[in-house]
Order: sequence, then C-alpha cells, then structure tokens
Amino acid sequence: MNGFLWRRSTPLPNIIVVFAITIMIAFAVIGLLAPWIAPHPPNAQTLMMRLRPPGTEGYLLGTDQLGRDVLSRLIHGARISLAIGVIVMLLTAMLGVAIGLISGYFGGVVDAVIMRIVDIWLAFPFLVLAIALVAVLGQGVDKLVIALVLSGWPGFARPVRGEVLQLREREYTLSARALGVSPFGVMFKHLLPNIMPTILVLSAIDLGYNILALASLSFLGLGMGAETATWGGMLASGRNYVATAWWLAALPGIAIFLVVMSSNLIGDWIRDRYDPRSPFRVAKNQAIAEARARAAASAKPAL
Amino acid sequence: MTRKSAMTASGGLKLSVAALALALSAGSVAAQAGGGSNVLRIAWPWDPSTMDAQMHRQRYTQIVSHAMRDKLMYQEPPGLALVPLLATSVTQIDETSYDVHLREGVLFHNGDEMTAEDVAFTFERLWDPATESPRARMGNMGNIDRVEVIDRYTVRWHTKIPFGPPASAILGFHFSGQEILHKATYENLTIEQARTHPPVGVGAFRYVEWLPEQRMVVEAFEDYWQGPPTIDGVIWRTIPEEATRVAELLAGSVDMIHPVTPDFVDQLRGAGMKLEIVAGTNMRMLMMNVREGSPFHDPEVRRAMNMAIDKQGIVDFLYAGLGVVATQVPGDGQEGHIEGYSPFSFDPEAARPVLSQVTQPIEIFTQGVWQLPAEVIAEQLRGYGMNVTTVVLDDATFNQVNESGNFDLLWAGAGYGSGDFTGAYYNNHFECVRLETDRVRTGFCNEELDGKMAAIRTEADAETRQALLDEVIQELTEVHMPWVPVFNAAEVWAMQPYVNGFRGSSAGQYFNLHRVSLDR
Amino acid sequence: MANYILHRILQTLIVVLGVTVIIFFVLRVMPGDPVRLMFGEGDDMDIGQSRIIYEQQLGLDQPLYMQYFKFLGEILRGDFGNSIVRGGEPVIDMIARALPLTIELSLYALFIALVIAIPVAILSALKQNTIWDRGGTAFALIGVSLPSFWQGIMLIMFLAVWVPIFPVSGVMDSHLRIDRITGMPFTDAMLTGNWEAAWSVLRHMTLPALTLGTGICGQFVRVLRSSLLEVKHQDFIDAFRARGLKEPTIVGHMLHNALPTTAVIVGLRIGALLSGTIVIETVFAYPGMGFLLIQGINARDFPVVQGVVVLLTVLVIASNLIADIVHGMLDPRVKLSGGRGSGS
Repeated sequence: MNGFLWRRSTPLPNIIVVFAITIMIAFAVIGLLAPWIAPHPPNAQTLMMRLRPPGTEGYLLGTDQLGRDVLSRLIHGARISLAIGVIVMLLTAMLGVAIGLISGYFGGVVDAVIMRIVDIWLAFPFLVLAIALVAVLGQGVDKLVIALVLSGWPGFARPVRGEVLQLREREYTLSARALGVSPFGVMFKHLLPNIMPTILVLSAIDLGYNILALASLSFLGLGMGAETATWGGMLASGRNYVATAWWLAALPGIAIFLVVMSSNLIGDWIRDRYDPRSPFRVAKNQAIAEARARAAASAKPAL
Repeated sequence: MTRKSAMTASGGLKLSVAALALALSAGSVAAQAGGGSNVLRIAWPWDPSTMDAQMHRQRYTQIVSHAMRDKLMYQEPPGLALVPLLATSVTQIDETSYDVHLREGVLFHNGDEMTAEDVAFTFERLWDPATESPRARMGNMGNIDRVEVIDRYTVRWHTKIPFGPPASAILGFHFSGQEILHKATYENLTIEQARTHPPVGVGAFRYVEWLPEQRMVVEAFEDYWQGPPTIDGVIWRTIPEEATRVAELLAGSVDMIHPVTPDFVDQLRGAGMKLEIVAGTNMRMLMMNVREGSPFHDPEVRRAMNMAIDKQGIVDFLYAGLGVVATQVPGDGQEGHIEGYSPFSFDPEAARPVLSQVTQPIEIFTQGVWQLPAEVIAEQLRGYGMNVTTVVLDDATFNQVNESGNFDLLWAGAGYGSGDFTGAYYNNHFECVRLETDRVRTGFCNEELDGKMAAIRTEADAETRQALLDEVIQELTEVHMPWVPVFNAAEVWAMQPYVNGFRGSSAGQYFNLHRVSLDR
Repeated sequence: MANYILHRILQTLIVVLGVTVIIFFVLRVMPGDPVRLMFGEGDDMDIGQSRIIYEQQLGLDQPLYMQYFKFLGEILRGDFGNSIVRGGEPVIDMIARALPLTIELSLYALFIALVIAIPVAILSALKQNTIWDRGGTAFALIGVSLPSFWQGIMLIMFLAVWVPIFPVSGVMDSHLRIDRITGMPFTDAMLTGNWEAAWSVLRHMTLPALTLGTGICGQFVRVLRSSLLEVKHQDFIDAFRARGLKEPTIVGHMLHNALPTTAVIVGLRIGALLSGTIVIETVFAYPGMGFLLIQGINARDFPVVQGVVVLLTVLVIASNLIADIVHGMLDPRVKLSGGRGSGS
C-alpha cells in the first residue's frame, strides 16, 4: 500500500466534489430502482398524447414524439446509460491495466510488440475506431460494449505501462523479485496497489467519456437500437424538436452533462488527493518513460 | 463585380480551371446570392457526385443534371404520366424498331442546335463498355441493340427483343433517366475530364461553379426552348444534418430545403414557412419472411398481420396527415394501382387470436429515418402479445439484410421511379428466377403469377393487359400477402413564403425550377 | 541521433502499415457494400447483372488480399484510389480539398481552447484550493461534459437563429469566392487581400470552433494548472518575488516554465480534436475530413474512408512526434532523462 503514502495532505472534499458525488449516487440509485419508481413503462406509447409539455396531467416531464413518458424514459435511461458506462469502464480498465502491467513488467520484445499495437490503436481518432467496430459488430448492448472496450483499452494500457516502467526498478519491486515472488505476484501484490490512484483517475474520466461516446454514436445512427431508452438515444432523436419541444433535447442533455461533469470532477479530485504536486503525473510519467524506452531501444546496435 | 467574378474558389485543382473558364461570364449569379436577390438558394443533404450525367445513379445528382440538361421525355408528378420533352413522339416501325422524333430549334447553352446526332451520341456513349456507366442497363436497355440516325430530327431505336407498343417500350428505353449530351463537347473529353467539365446541355440553367461538398451554382439560360427562367439562378448548398438545414431556413439564409421529415413539420408551419407536399410513390410496407421456419410462413398469420396495424393512426399522428394509407401492393399513383381496392381493414379483434399464438422473439429491421413508424408498429404488435423489438440499421446494412432475406420483419420501402409495375415486380422480387441469384427479400414467389406477368409484358391489347394486371395485384395483395402495405409517405419541401410556382415530383425530384419565382 | 530518428521512422512505418491493415479489413467485413447501395432501388430489369458488371469494372470481385496489396501499392505511389460513389473522383483530390479545411478549423479551435484555458489555469493556480480554483476548473469542464452535436445545435439555435449573430453553417457566404493557394479558406483570403471573404470565413468557423475548442479546453486547464502549481513553489519564483518583481512578470515566468508540458499535451490531444471534428463538421456542414469520413462510411465508399483514415492517423502520429520533439527542446530535463535519445 505504498502508493497511498504519496498522499501529502487530506484536503476535505470541496463543495463541488461533494455535489458531484451526490449526483452520481443519486443517479445510481434512480437507475437501480428504475422499474419501481418510473411512473410508466418506458415504451408505452399514447400517440394521441405526443409532444405534450412538462406538467401535463400524468406526465411530469412531458411526452416524446411517440407519446411516451419522458420522466420514465429518463429514469430507465439512467439505468441503461450508467450500467453501460460502468461496465465498459470496468472491462476497459481490466483489459488495459492487464496489458499495461504485462508490457511494462516484462519489457523487451513483449513490450515492443504491445506498444506498437497501442500506437496503432491510438493513431486512430477514438470515434473512428468506435464507429467502425459498431458498424462491423452490429446493434445491441453487448456489441456496443465490446466496441467501446476494444477501442478504449490503450487509454489505460499506456499510462499504466509508463508507471510500471518506473516502479519496476524500485527497491521493493526488486527485493520482491529477488525473494522469488512470481511475476504475477509482483504485478498484483506490489505494482497494482501503487498504480491504483492512476487507475482510479483514468476510470472516473473514462466513465464520463463512455456516456458521451454513446451519445455521439446515437447521433451518427449507430446507437443502441430504437426501443432501448438511453440518454444518448433520447438526445439524438430529441434534437429535431429543439424549437418545438425543448424538453426532449434539454432534459437528457442535462442528465448527460451532470453525470459526465461529475465523473470528471471526481477524477480530478482523486488525482489531486493522491498527488497534489503534479496532478498530471500520468501524462508526464508517460512522456518520460517513453523517452527512456526510446533511448533504450535506439541504443541497441541492431538498427 | 467583374474582378470578383474572375476569381475562382475551387477546391479541386482540375475544377478550378473549369470554374475559371465560366466564372468570367457567369460570376454575377454567385455574387447576387447574398440575399434579397433573384437567386433561389436550396439546402439539401447531398452534393452532386459528378458533372457527367452518365456516371452516377443518384436521384440528387440527377436533379442538378436535369436543371442543366433536358431529357427526351420525363414523368409528370401526379400519376407519373410520360410527358414529351425533347422528343415529340415515338412511332413503331416493326416489332423491334421505333422512331423517335425530336423537337426542332432546341438550342444548347453554346448556341448549337440539338440534332439527332447528339441524341444518338448520348446513348452510344452510355452503352459503350469503355464508358463503364452504371446507368447503361437501366430500364430494359440491356436488350437494346443500337440507335441509328435517320435524319436531322429522327433517331431509330433497334431492340433485341420485342418491346411492345410505344407506350410501354418508352419505359424500357428509360428516356426519363437519360439527359441529352452535346456531342461536339463530349466526344473529345475523356471520362475523367467529363467528370468536372462544365456541362453543356439544353436545360434551363447554365453551369456557373461547383465547389464539391459546399455548393453548386447555375444561372438562367436565356435561350431555353421553353422560354427563359423566371429566376436568375439556383444555388444548392450541401448540409447533411436536417436540424441545421431547418435552422438555415428559419434564419433566412436559404429559400428552400428538402427533404423534410415529419419531425419538423410543426416547427416549419409555426414559423410561417410554405410546404410543398406531394403524395409520394415511395410506399412503406412491412415485408414478412415467408420462408419455412419463419412465423410468417403461415398465410393465416400474414392475413392477421394485414389487419393488425392502425395505419390511419400512423399517418394522422406521426405524419401530421402527410401521407396516404396503402392497402395494396402497388402504391398510390403507380401503374396497376386499383382505385378503391382495400381488401383488409384495421380489425384488432380478428388479428388477436392468431397473433397471440406467435410468441417467439421477432425483430423489425428499419433505417434511421423510418424509425418512428417502425416503433409504433412494434408497440401495436406487442399489444397482441407478440414479442417484437425494433432494430435500427444503417442504410448499407439494411440494404444487405433486405437483399439477403435474412430477417423476420423488414420495415421497407419501394419507390418505383418509372411507375412501371412490371419493373417493380422484378425488383421487389416476386419473380421465381431471382430467388436463387439476387434480391431474395421475402422469399415469396409463384410460378403462376410469373406466367401472367410475362404475358402482360408482351400483351398488345390494353384491356386484356389491364385485366391480367388486376388479377396479379389482387392475388399478391390478398391471397399470398408477402407484405403489409402501410402508407405512402409524402415528399415534402419547405420554403420561404415568397417562393412561388415550385412543384415537386412524387419521386422527390423537381423539374420546373425555371417556373419558380421569388416574390419578396 | 541518426539511430534515434531511424528508429522513430521505422516505428511510424509499422504503425501506418498496421493502420492500413486494420482499416482495410474492417471496412470489408462491414455489412453492406458500395455497389449494392449505389444500385439500390434501381429500375433495371436485370439489376443483378448490371451490378455484377459494375463490380468487375471496379475490381471488387478480386480476392481481398489482392485488393489489399493493390491498395497498399497505390498508397506507396501517393494514390488513394478513386471514389466509387463520386463518379470516380480521385480520393487524393477530395482530401486535398478537405484536409486544409479541417486543419484551419482545428487551429482556430485550439486557439479558442487556449484563450479560455490560460486565464482560467492561471487563476486556478494562483488561488489554489479556493472557490476560484474549484469554480475555474469546473467551468473549463463544461464543454467537455456536453455531447458535441447537442452543443453545436444549441449554439446554432441560440446564436444563429434566435439571436442571429453568426451564420448557421457552411464555410463562407455563397456569393464569395477565394483563390486557392493553401486550400485553407481564411489563410487564402488573407493572403489574397480578400477581406470580405476572410471575415465571412471567420464568422462561419466561429461556432464549430467554439464547440470543438470548449470540448478540449478542460484538458488544457488541467495540465496547465498543475504545471503552474509545480513551478509556483519553486525557489526561483520566491526569489523573483523577493526581488520585488511585479505579479504579471512572475506569472509570465511561470507560464514559460509550464509551456513544455502544455505543448506535449496539445500534441497528444490532436487525436481528440480530430475525433471531435467528425461529429461537428457534420452538424455545421463544414466539408472537412470528418465530413468526408461520415459520408464515406454511410455510402461504404471504401477508397474514401481508407484515404481519410490513413491520412488522419498520419496526422495524429506526426503531431505526437512533433510534440515529443518540442518537449525535448523546451524542457532540458527530458534531454537528461532520455539523454541518449536526442542528445548524442
């Protein structure tokens, strides 16, 4: 638990962060309880009651273009959008961290190969990769999750590897290796705890990013399929009613904004908390570690 | 003004030369377009893909092409009747040859008179394998042997097989899709050069400039054979996102937008915009997979499906009345449409006992623009106890699903450009020989119907032909029922209140820009 | 040094090769193909036959690996093939048109992002842990937290329709023309002294650049603030202060020291910036690379998508490389730690 010692002081969470955490918890609770607290089923249509403004009898936040209750869809949207955001985040983190650890720890050929693959991946603008993968894999929650994980993992792998490159030469790592601890033991018992703050920061920001990516994909017509109530989908189809039914685009927009903002603020807060001196340690370490790796590589006479 | 017009702003290097050539004479149209001028500014999602009339298959590219070049004949919007344009008449010489008589005194933009040589050259270039034109086999042109110049104003078509009486032969000739080129210009151009070369045609408007993906500009041609256009020119601007197009119209920076989806109709009406609404030939239908193993293999289920959907509700509520309920296989305004024929009515109670037995998960595939009606249909079917979900596919994927027949329910459309039902019969794949090779779709075919269609194609007597056609359509609609016809969506254009005289065509095109006027 | 450069070039080549492989095969396994899409609901009586003939003409009936090697060979000759949908237009011409537009828009967005980020970061760093700090960083995150298409449409409605300050979309007013020199409309208009067009282009670019710029400025604030904090407590700053230097001068020194890291981050964010253009160019009808890409994907116009993606990735790789080099030049510590790389 050495990494936790880097903590210099423990500033109390400021007001904005408290607010951010409250929002996240609130949306999570709403999402979990969705089937019980939503006043209507999310897909129940009443065509005669389409595009009614908020405050209409029985429809607190109005109805959409098919006469579905906007409040109920927002509540169910919280469940689906957050669930996908969190699942993608967890899977991306697991995959990315595992690859980063292996790459950084073993170094050499393994590292070189993995880092070239990471380079190739990162050379694609993120959305290009996501669009291509969604188009190939097809519609559906599972496929969307796979597409986002597959396009997002290098975002974890590279900084994690950068950290590991530094930590691997530390005394406690060296002594653990000398004591005959297996590579995976070293990775999980000694390295992983030390890079936890980095992982937490990346995860928090990734959560927000996933929700935005879902919305962008919906805008491009590569979302979840018609009937699943997601915030991104509601926003994408609501954009056509900005002038006539503002609530269709405004409400899911606000929900997305709050969650993404919160996840960013929480990420920043974690970063500040563990390393107030250099909140952008991740990127810097990465740059330095890469410079070193490059120097090491170019020093080899083979080229 | 002249100095400004001498400057060219082309993106493509080759284009800039072409633009420069015409910019000198024609810059004033672009210069006027700022507002308050007599130039019609249209925003649409497309960009013409080429200036060569023969190297594309896109309706939107053809809209621009048609503004600059006319065709031998075209199809008038209501009912799609053929209207003579550059050809005045067609006479049949024998079973496989037809004479096309041309209008005299029609001038090209450069002052030359259009002759039989130009017409023959147009079609020869189209069919030349070296041209590699994707339009070469449209209609039944694959079965045309050659064209021959008889005199200055007569061209003879020779066909490999009998094409029937002139009225139906013309559909096979596909006159309505082929704009006439200027021989002296195009015979000296390579295909690559023709792509960006300023078109020389006999149309109402003359090329000014084309900034690909940005704008296309044309100006009035004073010597147009139907009289000079009322407006000074037209600018098409490429704006793919509909919300942005609507914003442009509301901000007053364009005069007309199309296509318009029902989402925006309320907003546009509320803002005082004028709507041009034309009953479309694009019929939306629910295609059912009739193959073994599909729940819709059973004709009783298909019959129940035909009674299960509240079509009028969809048209009234979702489309604000901008559509017509469809009750039979050919759409309203299409050949073969039987006036007043409606074998099924909306009858939930009759549909419920059958449909409630269909419990396996079923997906309706649809495209993004048609998502809302598909969702309504899915919800209505769920009301009968069916387990239906809507899946939105992008156009390319939808196309593939459509043609591979790999679906349960397909929320599809069929637009028949030429209005010819025999052609539609092929393309919508009711014909058994296609089952093996392409366009499989519902998997339905019937040898007996195929026989009747073959008879219709060669039948000379109009009445016998009509009777046969009615029979085929009734059998398709109420005996075999591979589709649930739902509605014909209207084609909608929205424009500023001062735009007058615009007429849209049922296939989403427009041919009368020269009659449009701006009365601010 | 030569070794290092050679090594970097080799690395880059491997990455580009990987990119071509991925994009080529991903496109080919996507459902739907361009010819089917193009022939669509045609009224050919023998549509299957028409299509087969056309496919043969385009070489789409060849085995995939043959098509790939043909594609690779063409790229090596600087040829990206011809668009299938746009009547055989060379893809390189389309890119020559679109790339300068995207570059100019991105630079403008970068400018906007920095204009917002620098004052906010200075304020946050100087007033660390106060409400100014919290509020400032939160403010910088607003743009990052909004889906860009939504932000774009809202900006259009508010600033172009209801309060018509800016034009809705496009590159410039449709009565204007600009002579092509670089292909970048604003630059060209300035170079040719066409002030009216320059002003029009600037006005048209403002809303998309604002959407794009606010989408990345949160990152800049983060980095800049932390770099400033790092410098803030260093001895030389205290020494300046002891010498009685004015606050703005000291901030200037702090900024100077924070620049290297910022330069690296700007370089590393180019990918995100280009990613953002995909959606924003579609919303604002701004025909740059993102616009081409979406049109190409929708029509399954393989050569166009391949060309655009290969070029975009090369751009990303190049900007990362430049960021590295700039970082090395500005920050002596990197030279020390990565010494043999750039030093010897």
